[in-house]
Amino acid sequence: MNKKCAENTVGKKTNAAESFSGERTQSDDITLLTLESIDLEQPETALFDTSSGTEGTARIIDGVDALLTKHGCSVEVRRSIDVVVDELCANITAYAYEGENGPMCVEAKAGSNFIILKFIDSGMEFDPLEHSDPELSDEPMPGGLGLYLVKNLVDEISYRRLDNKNVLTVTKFWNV
Amino acid sequence: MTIEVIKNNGELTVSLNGRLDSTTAGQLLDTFSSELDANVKSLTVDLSRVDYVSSMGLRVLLGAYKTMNGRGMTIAGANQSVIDILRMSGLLKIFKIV
Repeated sequence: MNKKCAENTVGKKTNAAESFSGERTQSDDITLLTLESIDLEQPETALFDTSSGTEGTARIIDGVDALLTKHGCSVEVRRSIDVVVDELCANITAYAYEGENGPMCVEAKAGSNFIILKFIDSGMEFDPLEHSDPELSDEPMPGGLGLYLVKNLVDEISYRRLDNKNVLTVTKFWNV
Repeated sequence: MTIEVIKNNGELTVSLNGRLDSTTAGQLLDTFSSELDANVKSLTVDLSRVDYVSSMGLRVLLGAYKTMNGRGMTIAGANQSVIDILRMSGLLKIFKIV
């Protein structure tokens, strides 16, 4: 819902209340809040259950990219999500299992203007959001750059440790 | 990703086709390791057929920049998504972009 549409909705309700109350003195406050429902009715879900490493990462990138294409996502947004998927899968590959390969799973839920991606691994506990962003002015390509890029490319990001698994959830909206 | 290498009197052009990320950065690293020698006077990395670059790709590009050590290095044909990533990572001011 755009701003104008929200204002119209509130305006109509306000006019209706004023019309109903007529000349009577107002005895209490009225608060109106307009919420937008973001196409959560028929999201498509997909599960990419693979193992860490470049092969698994490529499979997930291709799968998520195809899902985004199917839901009318622009090439610019698709490219930014491709980067996000690569960064987070590369992180799991590099750190979750101390260099070994292990389970790496992405649950995707996509609609006409959003995608929610859950990155799940069974490796050692790691909350990337607890780590501060790199100082980009000091040295090019500092550690933590990948996560810094991810934070800048998505709209929402959250971490949970659940059943001995790391679950990192990112959400990206478009056309809003 | 496919990589094409053209050498012309010390001018090295490396053209990439595909995506430059954690799944392909090793290929480019190998190419630079074998091609970037003392005879290379300038390096152009053609990204006009690259969809996106992630941090692993950026690290390889920065490694090439350091190996070139002041000899000319140019990034050519980068799309807006790649430019945005270069800007976010602070590398836009390091590379010559055409």
